[in-house]
Amino acid sequence: MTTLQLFISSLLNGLSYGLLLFMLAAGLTLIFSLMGVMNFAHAGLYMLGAYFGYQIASYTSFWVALVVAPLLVGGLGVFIEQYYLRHLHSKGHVHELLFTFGLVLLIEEFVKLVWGVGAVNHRFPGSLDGTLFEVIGVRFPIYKGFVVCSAIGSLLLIWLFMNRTKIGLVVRAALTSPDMAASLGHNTRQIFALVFGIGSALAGLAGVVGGAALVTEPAMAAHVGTIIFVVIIVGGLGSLKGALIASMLIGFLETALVAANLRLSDLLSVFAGYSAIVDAVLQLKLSQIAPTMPYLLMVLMLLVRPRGLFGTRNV
Amino acid sequence: MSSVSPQRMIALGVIVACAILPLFLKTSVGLTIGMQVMVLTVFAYSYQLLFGLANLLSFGHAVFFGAGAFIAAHVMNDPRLAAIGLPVEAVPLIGLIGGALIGVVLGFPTSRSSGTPFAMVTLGIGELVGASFLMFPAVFGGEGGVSTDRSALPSLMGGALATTRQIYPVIFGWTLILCALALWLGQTPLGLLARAIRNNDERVGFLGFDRKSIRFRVIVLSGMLASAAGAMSAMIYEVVSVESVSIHNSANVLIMTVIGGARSIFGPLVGAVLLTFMQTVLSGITSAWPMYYGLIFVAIILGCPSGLTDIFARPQFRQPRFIAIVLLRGIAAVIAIEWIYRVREGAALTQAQYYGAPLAAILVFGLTFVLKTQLRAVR
Repeated sequence: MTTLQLFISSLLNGLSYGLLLFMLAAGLTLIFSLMGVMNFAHAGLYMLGAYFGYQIASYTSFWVALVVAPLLVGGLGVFIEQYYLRHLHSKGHVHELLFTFGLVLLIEEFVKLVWGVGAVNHRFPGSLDGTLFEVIGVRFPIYKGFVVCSAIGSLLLIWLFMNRTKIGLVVRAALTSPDMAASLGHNTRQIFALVFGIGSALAGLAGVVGGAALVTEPAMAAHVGTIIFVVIIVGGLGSLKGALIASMLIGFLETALVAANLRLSDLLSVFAGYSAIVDAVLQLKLSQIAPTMPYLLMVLMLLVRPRGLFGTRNV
Repeated sequence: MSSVSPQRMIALGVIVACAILPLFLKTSVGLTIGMQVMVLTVFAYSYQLLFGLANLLSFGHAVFFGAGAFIAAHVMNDPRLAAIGLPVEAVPLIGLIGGALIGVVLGFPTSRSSGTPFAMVTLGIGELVGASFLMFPAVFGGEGGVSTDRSALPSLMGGALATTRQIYPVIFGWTLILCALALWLGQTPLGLLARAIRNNDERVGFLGFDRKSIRFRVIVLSGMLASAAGAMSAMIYEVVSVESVSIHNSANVLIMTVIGGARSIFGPLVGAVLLTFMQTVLSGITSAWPMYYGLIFVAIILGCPSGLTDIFARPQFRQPRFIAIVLLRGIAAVIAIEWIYRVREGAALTQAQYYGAPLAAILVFGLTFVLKTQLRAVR
């Protein structure tokens, strides 16, 4: 593979991975802006979406699962918000955080209990195999195009809902000032439940699609969960624009580093030969350090610009 | 004080029981379990300092524990230190110093934030450290971990501490010192300021205190104690794996501290005993034990956020009907979980078991709802 081919292929892979991350980060950001809850269970709902999708697809077809699984997960989100999270609100955010953390533990154990500890065979249907297009010898499979389309499609729907419908107007009002919206006679409790449900359904959809594109296993929640937190910190708390750019950035970064067959010493050869520790670090392959890159980015961002890319206040 | 408070009586009882434990246990297994409880207790007290006192919810506390463990392992493996006669009893002290250094480095970026952002940042740093430890197999032993030998270092008593029975008093002594230190720190001016931050963060700022510096000092002190706990674990097991810095270990300390009671004196101890019980006894009975652990955690958060140690002080728990509901729901959950587990594993179930168990679970669970409406009527 030439460098240009490598660049194009990581660009395309990064696009589909980054959009998948954004589907999760968008729902999480919406929920956070509205309720101030950083929902740890969001990644757990993503995983449930994948497993529900797998189970439904095994009975019916992938396309049924694509619709039903997100609805189920969204319903579960509404249930959690209505019956549990709401009552914890008065006890403070740290308490809500603890609860959602406990929830993700339970989801993980539930998944292990029902579907076992190994990965399940959740795949796209055969009609999505094949190649969508080819750029200078780099093939872009249909299923990755499908990931991109479903992400853009669902986000477009949400944008239309928020900006072109009357309920969306109330949601935006509640986002800006929940107390004022409530004083004007809008049922903000229902709005909270609705937004939580939409965010959860989005996570469920990301799960059905992402589980098939990547791998459906009990560890998927823990992995993606921390990454989307990094996305939100780097992008700036509560900023959708920031979340989009940060997810793209991290998507490209991870795919490019995994694909690049380079060692650190190839890039930073000026530092070599001074100390044994530095040389040991330089001997690492870029693909080896790829898993740590998002976190390094986060720490750097905290040191340089604590509010994140587009955040309005410091973390 | 002329009268002895019940808390002091309990503390004294626990200390005496631990001190005479080796006289009654013939095998070393019991002592090892006892020492595991001690290590977890110190770890949990260090977490209590962070979360219970300053309300800093960290998801990366295992970084300190693991770092302390690796430092201790390398100290015990270093022949130069053995040559200058570093006593093995001093290893937790080196853990404390190492923890302070790491606390200064990590406290710098993390102490800026509090509340939700602090939780997210520490989660990220925990993942970062966990992932980078795997990249240097020469230092951290990769997946296999680093093994060590505590008898390489001389003991203050002369000779070496080779057997479990010999190391037990050292671990016990350090546990006493570190737990006392953690509880004492809560009473110092810094501890009081940390508590003030927990109760009204903004107001502490208005009073002219530097909140970042208070958080920084609490993070460093708590990290020191956690590192010492890690060093003690390296002394006991003589092997340190990357698992000790993992997010699972961070989650464990958080869960056991919260279950026991993040703000109560005996909370960390109770949490450590419960976790050890589940890891050693319950895991032998059912492989679904992490599920039960998680269920207890969520139930505590929803029903009694101040932890198990506070459970009898709450008014609901004086109502027999409420206790009955909690117990029945627990039973229904156990039946359902064990049934799902057995069905998935393809265990041989009789017809009655296959259909009876889920039915029983649903019936028992339904019964709790009937009881609950009764409970409302009584109120």
